[in-house]
Amino acid sequence: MAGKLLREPVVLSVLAVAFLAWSLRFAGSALLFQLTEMLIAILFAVAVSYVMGVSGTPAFGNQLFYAGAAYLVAIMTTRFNVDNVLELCGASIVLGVVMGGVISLLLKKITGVAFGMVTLAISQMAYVYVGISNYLGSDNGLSGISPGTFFGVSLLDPDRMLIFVWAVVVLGVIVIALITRSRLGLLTRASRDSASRASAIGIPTFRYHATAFIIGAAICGLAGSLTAITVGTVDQDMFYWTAGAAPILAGLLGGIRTIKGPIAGSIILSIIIIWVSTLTTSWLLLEGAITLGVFLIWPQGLLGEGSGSGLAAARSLTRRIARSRRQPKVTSS
Amino acid sequence: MQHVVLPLVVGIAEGLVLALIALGLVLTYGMMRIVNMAHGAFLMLSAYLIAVLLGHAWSESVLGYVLAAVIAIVIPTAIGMGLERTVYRRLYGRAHGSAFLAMFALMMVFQGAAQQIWGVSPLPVKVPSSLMTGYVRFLGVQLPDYYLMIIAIGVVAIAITAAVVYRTKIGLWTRAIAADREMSAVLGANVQLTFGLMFGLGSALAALAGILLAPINQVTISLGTDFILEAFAVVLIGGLGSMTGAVIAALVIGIVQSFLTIDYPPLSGYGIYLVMVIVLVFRPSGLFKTANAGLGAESV
Repeated sequence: MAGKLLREPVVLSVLAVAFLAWSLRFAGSALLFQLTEMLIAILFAVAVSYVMGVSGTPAFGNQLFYAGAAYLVAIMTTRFNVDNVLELCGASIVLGVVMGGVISLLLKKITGVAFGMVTLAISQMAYVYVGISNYLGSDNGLSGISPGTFFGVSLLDPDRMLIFVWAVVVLGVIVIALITRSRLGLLTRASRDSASRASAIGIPTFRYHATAFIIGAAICGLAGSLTAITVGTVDQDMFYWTAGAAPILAGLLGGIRTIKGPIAGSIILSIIIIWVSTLTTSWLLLEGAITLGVFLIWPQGLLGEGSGSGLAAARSLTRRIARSRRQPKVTSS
Repeated sequence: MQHVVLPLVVGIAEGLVLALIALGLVLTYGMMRIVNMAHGAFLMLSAYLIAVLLGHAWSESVLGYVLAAVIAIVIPTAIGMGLERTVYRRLYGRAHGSAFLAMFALMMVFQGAAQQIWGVSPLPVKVPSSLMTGYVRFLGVQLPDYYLMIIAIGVVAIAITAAVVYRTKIGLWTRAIAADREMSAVLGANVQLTFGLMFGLGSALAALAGILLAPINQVTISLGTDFILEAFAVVLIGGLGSMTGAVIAALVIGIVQSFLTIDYPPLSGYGIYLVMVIVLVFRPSGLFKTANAGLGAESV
């Protein structure tokens, strides 16, 4: 029993460490940058999938927390000369919690897709506001964000930045995984599966949905802070609703109710972007087509839970092969 | 007078275009309970088609423009109906959240394809000058011909849609299916046919909107996504299953936006979203309630 429970985390940990080792040894600085971005995408996708999959709240406006945190970091480094990445990340998490907390109050009144659209609308309003605010760089955005320092060590070097981002992402994913498997996660999933039944047995569903939303917002904010120090610039497009599409697509592709799903989905989508952008400009088409195709065949994603996933299909296929090997061929007369 | 009449006319025109897009969404949602994220794709497609078709010798006359417009409506409608039979059919039973996201992926496919075919720069749209540059004087104000044409076409299109939904047999089936799909099928409604035709109608309306918008907006791959969000806001404000609500909400928003753009520009980007948030907080099911629509918590 314990073996089965530990299998997934062990596999993921091994892969994570292998990834880090490989990258540091073999990747040039351009690839290191892209890999760092991929790690951030993973964190963003895991957070969004937690809100959408585990809690069941369509979250189309989470780029608000991502971009908001990125802008906060930009302001902190360029105008207030804050350099310590722990302060930057910490402030981003706090921002996520505060903003997420305020918006989650709306969950009392609106749920489902309507709530998703409202969060999207709020992000759009932020997009417009940032575009006309000179303090926030209007449509040029803000640049010159310092990569920050970690206990005095500058993260300018791509290797160091990768290590730091890797550590933060791994920590973030572990936190979400632990929460999902905890009592909190269990009750959240219960509230998602059937709000009426859950509340009938006394579960305060609003509290769990709100908590999940806030957690998601905090981690999205964390991802946003990482993006700011990695890329060095922020602009208003980060608030535009299509910017929130990548984590959602990654979650859909991989399986939105799991942890490994958005990780796999982000990796696949990132590889497509990296690989395809050297060949043609059609990554948009490819990403959309692949995600749609996978979704239509396996609605739970490639590695999702339940019977509608690629993983389940693979399992039943291997079972069928094993079975046909064991039984002798019978011909009916 | 100028200050009031011109923005009002422009607002009504833009509101009607928004209504056309929103009606398509309401039709799809009412029947299929799918919030069709890819609806904007038909709008984008028709805008690109009309941009490509105009500017040739044969399309320089008004008749040529009409012909080009018909082509630019028929093709996206046909594609829409084809998609309904293949892709959308697979989504009917699914949880609403995941269907919504699949539609988003579909939209990306359209955008990617358009980008591959037509590139990233906006396409110019050469509408025959007789339509674009004329003015009509009304109450001492000069009103652009083009906007008056939009109003005329919009009103006619909405009237036709209303006639179809409220006066034809298939409209009856549509309303019945929206109320209770299984029962309607049991009572003899041809659900497949109705879905197909109504989806086609919705796509045609979106395509029409795209044609009307093309000369006054930039024809780029983001045209679909830009307007779809506003259309969704309209549908949510008006009430998810309600056609009347959508039309009224669209007109109100169009007029409000128009006046904001002229009198208070900083607020013009926010207007629609602010209205949506306020309406949804106080009346989550929108301004016009319908018996069966309304969104609850869903799992993805």
